[in-house]
Amino acid sequence: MTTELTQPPRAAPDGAGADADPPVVRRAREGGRRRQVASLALANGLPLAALFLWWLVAQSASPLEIPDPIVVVERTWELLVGNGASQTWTSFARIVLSVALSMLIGAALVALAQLLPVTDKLIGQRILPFINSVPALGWAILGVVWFGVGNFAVVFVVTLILVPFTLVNLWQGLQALDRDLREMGRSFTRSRWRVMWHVEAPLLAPYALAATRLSFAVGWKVALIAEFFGSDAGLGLVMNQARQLLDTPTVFATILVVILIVVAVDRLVFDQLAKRLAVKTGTVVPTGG
Amino acid sequence: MERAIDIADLRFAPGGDVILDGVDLRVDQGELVCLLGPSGAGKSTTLRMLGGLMQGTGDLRIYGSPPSVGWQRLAYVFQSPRLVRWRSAVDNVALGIQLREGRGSKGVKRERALACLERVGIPELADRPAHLLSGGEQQRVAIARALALKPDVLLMDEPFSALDVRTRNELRHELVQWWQDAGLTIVFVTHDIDEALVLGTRAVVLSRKPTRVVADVEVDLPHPRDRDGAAWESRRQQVLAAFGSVGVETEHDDDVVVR
Repeated sequence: MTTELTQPPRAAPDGAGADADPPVVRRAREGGRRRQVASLALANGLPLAALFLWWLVAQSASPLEIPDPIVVVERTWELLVGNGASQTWTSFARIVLSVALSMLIGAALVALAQLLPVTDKLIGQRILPFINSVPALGWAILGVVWFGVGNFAVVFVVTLILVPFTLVNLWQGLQALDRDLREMGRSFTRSRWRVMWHVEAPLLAPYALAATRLSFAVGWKVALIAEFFGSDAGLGLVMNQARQLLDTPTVFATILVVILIVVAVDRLVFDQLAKRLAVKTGTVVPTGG
Repeated sequence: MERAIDIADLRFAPGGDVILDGVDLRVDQGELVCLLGPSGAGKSTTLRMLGGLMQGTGDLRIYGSPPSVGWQRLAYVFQSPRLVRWRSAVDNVALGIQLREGRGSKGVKRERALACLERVGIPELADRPAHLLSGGEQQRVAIARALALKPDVLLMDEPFSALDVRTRNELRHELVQWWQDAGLTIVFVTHDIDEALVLGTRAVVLSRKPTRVVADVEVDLPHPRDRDGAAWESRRQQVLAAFGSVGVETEHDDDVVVR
């Protein structure tokens, strides 16, 4: 995602003189069009076929193993806007909070390493590998042991899992920072802080966006684990109860809810932000599609 | 005349590779001195050291102070404009003021920035995003950004070398006017002999690395300069002879440049 967001601007396609193209070019373009159609057909056709196969198998299989897609869709609707909605949006709120917190902590650590180079090794080579390698399950269990069942434990676990993502992304962004612009900044001031605020932070924005996008998706994976163990609410709890009740349709529905939310937020929020950033900075930022 | 810049025995040898081998340079208030030398001669390095952006050994003075104090009287214009993409022309100029002065009314800074854009002749482009400006326009913004600080000394590192011939000639001409109007001191790095002789009150000829000053040619001709005159030609021959004496080749491009 980082590369997507930071590609250099592409030259505008030259639309003029399309009729005058030699046959080779025209053939190549037709080939390109054919490939596009094939790619679209594959991307949409195969999932549709899989869906049909699922429906077909579900007609004869035990609902405990493969539930009917219609039932799953009904449950999904329940979880999004019906009875179960409070569970879904509880998880959502926890994840958004955790993403924000992890961004703050990641940014603070990176800023600290910049402003106080003496902490560089501590942060990059001790703290980062440490939090990066502790398994989510470990934090989840410890979260419950330390903080009991509830919001705090879940946010604690998710935030800790997400910090490495923001830290690594911002760190990489910092390595890729335009040296010329930094030197320009330094030629105007000796205030490290002003260069950071006016020059470096805006340059890091695409990396921050990439980190947030990634964090949000990973956040759902981790939040459900955390809620599975240590929560009185949320989709993880729904999952746990469904497991105990052998309610496979709900397990399927929970998965579907997460997919729908992650994709929707990616398209409606992150893609739009990326586009806006691109317009503002004059770079082409390809979107997820 | 007050001494603006005093460089004595400047040396720079990163990893044993001697680049600056005892460079001496004195620039008085109000001069426009061109540092002329082949690429790799450490011209840009010398400019950077003046502002404390790099460290070397030797004695550097800006109005009698070391770079750690004197940097506030300097402003840089680099070879590439180094504008930030996410700001408009006027906001790029204001960025320079923000960086140097910190807090303060944004409106006032913008006013000052606008006045500087007017000075460099592009007030109508104030609100255009930096990345939609032409190369020449961007460099004008970069010059406005430097002038906005009201520096005593302007340090320019081949600022016109990436521009097309016409724009380059225009900007050279205007630079002389800005310099005269503002009573600035300018140190201008170039590898273009004609550029140095069109602009400079002095052309300081540098050798290939390990670099030292080979000649200091006074160009006491009024601006704008007639490139065909005999006086011009004699200065030019002096510079060419100086380069010839240390085996630096020159070639004819749009101008005569050193390689």
